[in-house]
Amino acid sequence: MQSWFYDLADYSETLLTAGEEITLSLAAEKTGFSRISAGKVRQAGSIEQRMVEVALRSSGRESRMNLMLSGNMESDRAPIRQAIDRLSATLKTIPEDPHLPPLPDSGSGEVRSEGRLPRKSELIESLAGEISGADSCGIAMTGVIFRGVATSNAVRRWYESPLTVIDGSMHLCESPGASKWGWAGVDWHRDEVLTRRGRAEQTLELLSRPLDTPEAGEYRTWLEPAALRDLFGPLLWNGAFSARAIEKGSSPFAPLFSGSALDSRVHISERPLAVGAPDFGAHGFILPKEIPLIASGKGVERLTSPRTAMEFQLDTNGASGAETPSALAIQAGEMDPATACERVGDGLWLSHVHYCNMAARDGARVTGVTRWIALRVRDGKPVAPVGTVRIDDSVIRLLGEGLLELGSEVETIPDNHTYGSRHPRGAALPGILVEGLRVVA
Amino acid sequence: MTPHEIQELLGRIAPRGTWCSLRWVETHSENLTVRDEMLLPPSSTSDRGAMITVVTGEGQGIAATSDLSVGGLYQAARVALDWAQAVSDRGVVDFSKAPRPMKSGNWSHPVTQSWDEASPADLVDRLKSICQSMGGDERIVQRVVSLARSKTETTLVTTDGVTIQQSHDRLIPWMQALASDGSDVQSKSNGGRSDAQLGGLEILDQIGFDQMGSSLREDAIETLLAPVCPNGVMDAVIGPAQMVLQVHESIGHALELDRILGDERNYAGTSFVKDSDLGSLRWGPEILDVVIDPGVEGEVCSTGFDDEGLEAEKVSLIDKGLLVRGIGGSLSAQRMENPDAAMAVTRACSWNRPPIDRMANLNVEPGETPMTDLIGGIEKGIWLDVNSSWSIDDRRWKFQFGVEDARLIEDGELTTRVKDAGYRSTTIPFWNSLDAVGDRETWQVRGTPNCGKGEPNQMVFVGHAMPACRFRGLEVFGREG
Repeated sequence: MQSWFYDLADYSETLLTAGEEITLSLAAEKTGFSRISAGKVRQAGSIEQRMVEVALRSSGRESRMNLMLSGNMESDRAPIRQAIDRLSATLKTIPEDPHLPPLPDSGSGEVRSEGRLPRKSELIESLAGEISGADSCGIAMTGVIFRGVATSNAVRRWYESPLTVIDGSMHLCESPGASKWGWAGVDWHRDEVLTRRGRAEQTLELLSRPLDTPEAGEYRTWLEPAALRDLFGPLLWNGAFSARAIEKGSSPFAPLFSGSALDSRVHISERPLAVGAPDFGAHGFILPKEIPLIASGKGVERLTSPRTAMEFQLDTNGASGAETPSALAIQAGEMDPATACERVGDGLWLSHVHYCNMAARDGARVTGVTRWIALRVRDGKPVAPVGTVRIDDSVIRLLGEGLLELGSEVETIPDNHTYGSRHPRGAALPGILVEGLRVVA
Repeated sequence: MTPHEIQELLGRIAPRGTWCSLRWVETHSENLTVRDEMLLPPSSTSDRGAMITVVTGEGQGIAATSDLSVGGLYQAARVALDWAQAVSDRGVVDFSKAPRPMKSGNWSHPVTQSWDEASPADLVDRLKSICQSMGGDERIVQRVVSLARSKTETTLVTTDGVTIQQSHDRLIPWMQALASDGSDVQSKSNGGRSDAQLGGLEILDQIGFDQMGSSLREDAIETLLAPVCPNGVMDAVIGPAQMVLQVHESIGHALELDRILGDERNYAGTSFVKDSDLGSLRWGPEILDVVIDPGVEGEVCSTGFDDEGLEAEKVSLIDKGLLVRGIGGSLSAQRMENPDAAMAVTRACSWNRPPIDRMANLNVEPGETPMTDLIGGIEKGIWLDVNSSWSIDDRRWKFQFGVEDARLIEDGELTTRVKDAGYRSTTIPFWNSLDAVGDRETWQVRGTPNCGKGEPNQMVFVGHAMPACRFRGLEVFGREG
């Protein structure tokens, strides 16, 4: 894959005319997947794809074209040539772009991980089969993910990593309870997968008890790392740490960069290496090992793409155009997650918050609903699952005056979304204990 | 490559003794975005690939590849065969008995002003002009106007000799004005991403795209200055753009057969609807008629066939308030032991994902109440339109939605604009609070490019043609409500 991509880049450069510069960005994968419904295979198969973005620039203008290519130079020369011809023609019709950033400085680098991938039968068996009183569902995906960037000013960056992700759940047949589990790794470990699966099965007894659904009100709550990730989701896609969104005032976290603060124990950063993400962006800019976004509760740096840097006269930190983190990392605190129920006393324990959306920018208010392992805690013990209740609260409050403790263990959570392609990104977060989580009807 | 050539190709690569299909998809997309009167780098996409499905014994396997050479497809067919053998008798069904495409055909739709014949420079000038019309007030801190086009050519061939070719050319016009006074920020858009249509650039004139900029600016500033929506239980008229989201989330997803069957339990969720509810559950009052209609001109999922080759026709889902059918294709209907209930809704987002049950054109049929009477029939209530926030549980029962556009209704008249309005309810009680359906004058053909579902994940277009509707006793709230 790498030699094909670099050959493609070399060939592209031979097609340029005077004054033209080019960037090729690759997102490719060789994936196998098995989708399981009630312990049986709904769909299973392989996907092999190679998408290359060709960005041509000249005279302060840029135009881009994404090409799905075959991986065979003989076949791929023609579409590349046609794309460059077309982009070159487009550049003559569009106005100069005053915010077009320069290409990244020349340089090369390579991140290459190695590990064993499961066989087809192992992939199927990770989720298939019968469970007493419950259905096993989910998707198991495996294969190698590739990212590459090559520019006409001698940038050559390469990322290649195997990744297997098991994203599973168990659904009780006689009641609505369901347990969620997963495993992700570069190197396949069947025993670890079986251990996780067994642990999820053990939670089913608790989830099968009669519901103890809380009334609307405020509850002391332990939010697992995945629940915290869920609450952050809509804030990130609404530009929480985006330099542009903060400049425009549309970021829900804009107040944190102009005087307001979270609890001083909150430290948030973008840390690609924490989740095995590439150390370069889609256009070849190197990402720092860590970008501190919130330090001691206060806004520090922002995710600043090269374009935003040009527009607002800032320094870029190589962020993507969307200015969303590829690896949101929150520093651990001191509370042992094993003591979560004890510390909650009377309240809730939530593994996830489903289908979150931003209800209002003011306060970074997010709404979502309970799903998966949502437990009523009484006298310091988990006593029953809760039914579906709606959470509607301000994340700035939850990480500010509402924050009691940060968990002492950070969990690495892969990004399981596969819209268009698999994505080597994720989050590394602790759980949090909060006072007064707002439950509405 | 012609459908005949693709059919011949399948004959060369299909493993002996198996049943195979090959779905060849080519999508060409364009995107132009003007932000604050400056053109962002134009982008386009040329996406080509094929998915091969192989059935051997009881098992089915698939392989998707962007290598469309004979060698690449031959190799993919062997990979699909390996998967079919690995699945063997562990599938959700005996795939050798799964329904297969029966009828060949072609389908396309009229395009009056093709994107291919337009001058890119003229399109940019047009977008800049709209963007300019959104400005002129320092409280407007960001203006974005974009135009996207997605043209997909799909050819499905099988080793039974079936050949289906279809073409869909879609346009997604979008604009947004962001208003800020330094402390509060409000945004306004043209329908909250629900303006996707099937057709060419003629759509821009049909929806009055060039004229929307100035009214969006005024609406954004008016909303910025507006009081926060009051909390309370009140009657509401929901406009067509918000009805898109309301019906999509609380009818469409709830009725998908693959959710009812449990296939989506691990990701998108399940449904409160049970198999036994089909034909017996009263979803709403008799004025509620909900259909899947593949024949609405300009609606974004009008089509001739689905991606598993079933011919499309109009079907009723909710007939005079009674739930009669779920949304599912041939395989799901067979698994529900009601094969006659299949409809042409098994779709894939592209060549690299397998088809699953999706909403297509999911529409509420127009009623008889004019807009003046919808509003006029409320003494104290609210107008809610254009989605800004959406959240619903995984069974599609309990929901909370927010809107960009809200105005109080007092003594049968629209009065004060309010901001940060939201409402919450539960699905069946909500739909049974419906007491008037707007007439054809209120009915708008709309569509969204962003419906996500499936594992691996798939984002597809969904069409929704909606009237305005009136609901009684809705829990409405503003900020912190």
